[in-house]
Amino acid sequence: MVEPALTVRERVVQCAQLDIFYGHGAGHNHAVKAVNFEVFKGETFGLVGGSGCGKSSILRMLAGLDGDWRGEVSVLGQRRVSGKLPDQAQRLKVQMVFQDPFGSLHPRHTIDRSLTEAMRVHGFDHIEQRAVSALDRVGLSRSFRFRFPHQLSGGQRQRVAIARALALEPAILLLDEPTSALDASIQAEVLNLLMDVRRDLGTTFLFVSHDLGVITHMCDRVAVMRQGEILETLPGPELARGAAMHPYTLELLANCFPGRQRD
Amino acid sequence: MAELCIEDLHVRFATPSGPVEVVKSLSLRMGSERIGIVGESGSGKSMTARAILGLIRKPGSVTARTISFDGIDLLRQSATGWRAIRGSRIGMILQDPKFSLNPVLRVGKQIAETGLLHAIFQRSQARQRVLDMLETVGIDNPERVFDAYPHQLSGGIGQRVMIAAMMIASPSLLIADEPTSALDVMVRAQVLETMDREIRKRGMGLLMISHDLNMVASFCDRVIVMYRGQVVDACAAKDLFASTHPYTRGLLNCLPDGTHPGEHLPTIDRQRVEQAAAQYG
Repeated sequence: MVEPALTVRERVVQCAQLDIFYGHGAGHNHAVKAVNFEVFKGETFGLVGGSGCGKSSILRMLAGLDGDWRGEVSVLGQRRVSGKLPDQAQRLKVQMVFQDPFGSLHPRHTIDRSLTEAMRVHGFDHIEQRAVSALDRVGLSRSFRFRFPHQLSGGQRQRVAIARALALEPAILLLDEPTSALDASIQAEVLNLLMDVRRDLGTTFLFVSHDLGVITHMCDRVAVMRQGEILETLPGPELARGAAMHPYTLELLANCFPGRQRD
Repeated sequence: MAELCIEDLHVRFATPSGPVEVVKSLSLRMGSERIGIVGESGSGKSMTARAILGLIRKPGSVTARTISFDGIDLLRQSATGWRAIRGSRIGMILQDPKFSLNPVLRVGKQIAETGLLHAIFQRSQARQRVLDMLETVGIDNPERVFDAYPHQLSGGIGQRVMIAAMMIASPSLLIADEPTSALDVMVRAQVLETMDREIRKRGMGLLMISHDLNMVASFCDRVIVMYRGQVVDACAAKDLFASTHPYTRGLLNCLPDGTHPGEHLPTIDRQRVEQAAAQYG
């Protein structure tokens, strides 16, 4: 692997001293604690950690789904502070794919209706044409347009969810465990698809997963999280080599690649 | 030594477009060893486990030449017969503790239930026996967990509770259906360690169902690979990574491990697998 030249790159996401909260009173939960990171244009930035470490919270906040946060966030040059939600133009440019393809598609809407709804909201033209080409891009034939989610397999549904996000031509794609509900064989197909999208469209990815194999395969840089904090940020290939500093990362590596420790 | 013997097991479901065979002619013989069954979703691995314990409901139907455990015929059992077998001779752990524990009963009571039903201990001893068992499966604060409801427990603790409930009647065979796939990597390793320790200590047999080849290879003695209801490959766990069957190879190769970042992952060539599966039978 040739290291990419270190030139001045455009920052598309920048988070400074980000705190995220859920609930209040006794159920108050400080999910993300003073997190700092930046993501450059065209790169894939990974967030990895155990359940409850706050990795999905960061994505939800960037997508504008949760409003109880503090700090400073700048996405595609637009600056937001504590608790402010993104405007519609920005929501369009930041799209999200969720973990569970069984829960993220409306069970009583056809695939076509799910695909085109957001395009209508954002006032797109040539909606039908765009829906067909979005399905085409994720490798589904146009015959899928008028089926319902229950008629599709898990992998096909996740392709629809990716097509729905891509149809809006986002600059940033937030991927929240996009393959953890899928079989390993189907996971490989979906990851290949995402790599094609990145190559063809130059979309920036924020990729959340608890699977270090997937993370190191997909990501240029990875932030390791535990209990709401980023412990360290390091290049993906270095993480794959086991060149981590923090003891938690090393433990995570030992659990994910048990065979590799014996080398 | 209790032996599980399955010969020519078929599981069929009637659908509007005719019967679908989800398990096709599966045969297996195991003692107190650890066997892993792997395959994708829909390969029939869970259906095999359910058929052993008589848990296939209508419209499903089970036929086999033999299914027996320790000389007991598992093909013809009444409801009373099953009650004496399930839990006390053969235990089962399911994927997600959230759905397998009763949400409105305290955890301790649910664990004690198995022991009381099979008269392993008296009601007066129940609390102490359950607390001991919770400690055995690595729970730091057994008193708190005993009195908790399932929703108050994390996934890892919940799965340890399931293991405790299964171990308390000391069955000689444990069937674990994806016991750790709802858990994250760190907790997964701890739960597997607990399960492994207890199984070795008691000399139990284990039938582990999983889609995770790495986990099965490091945890079991033998591995069986299923594809569309059929056994397509079987080998010793240590030879799994050297298997030459196209489906097993496909499952192994499609796992990303960060050694070739950004490159296309190999996917399974279904046509080749179909051909190989036809030859294997």
